[in-house]
Amino acid sequence: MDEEIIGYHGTKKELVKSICENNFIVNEDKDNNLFLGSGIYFFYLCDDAIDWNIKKFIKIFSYLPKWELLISKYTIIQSTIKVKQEDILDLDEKDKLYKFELLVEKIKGKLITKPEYIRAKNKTAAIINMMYKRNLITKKMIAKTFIEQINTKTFDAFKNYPRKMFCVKDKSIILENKEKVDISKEIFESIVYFYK
Amino acid sequence: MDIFDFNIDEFEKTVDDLLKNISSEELLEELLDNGLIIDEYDSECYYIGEDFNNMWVHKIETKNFIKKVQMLFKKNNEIDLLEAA
Repeated sequence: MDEEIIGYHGTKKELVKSICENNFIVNEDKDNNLFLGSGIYFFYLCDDAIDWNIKKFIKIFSYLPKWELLISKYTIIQSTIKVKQEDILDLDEKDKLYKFELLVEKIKGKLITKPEYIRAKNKTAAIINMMYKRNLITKKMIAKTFIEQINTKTFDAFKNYPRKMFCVKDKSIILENKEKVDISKEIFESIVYFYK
Repeated sequence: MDIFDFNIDEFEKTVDDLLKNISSEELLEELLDNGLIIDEYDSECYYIGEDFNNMWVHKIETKNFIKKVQMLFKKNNEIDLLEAA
């Protein structure tokens, strides 16, 4: 059964036109690989994509931006994705995660005599990319929740903040991309509160 | 249908077969081609460990850090000496 998913992608303002008109370009640059391998990354929640933009801004300019400055440089693409349930590899499902861990452990075991592998970075992305190239994984998207520690001033239990992301491997499942223009300053203020 | 649709026995067998038919050198090479990064700081950094998200501390940074601590320590000692005098 087809599932329609809305994904949010934080990006630079100048890329909007090209993405909306010609779809995303998958950057195969090795350094551009994130933890789920090559593909186009989305958040399930728009707030997380705004937060991503804030992080990008801080990384480049080394300070926390004001709302007006942030939206002058970065924006959010809202994408509609249509995909069959069986074409999603959801690593939040225990049986899928278990298999993935088995795969990673077996590769680690094979490379036990290679200290450079133990010290290497980008392992999960490289393994996923390799499995795709060998057609052993053919899912059109991979999803996973990541936990981030945020600065709450109240309870420790609230510090672990989950962000669910997905990586589109086959961009033909993206039906539409449009700029999300109705983001309120209030949401931005609630996000930057946790940076102060 | 891919390996994640297999039952666990089929999944393990497929992975085992893959790894049986490739040497560790070839596997490492293939992973490098697919984005694995061997840290170029290898000779210039201290490696902290896998448990710490493969953290590397650059030797230059470490030196600066030690210098800062030494300066602070010296400064504090001077203040102590002044107070004692």
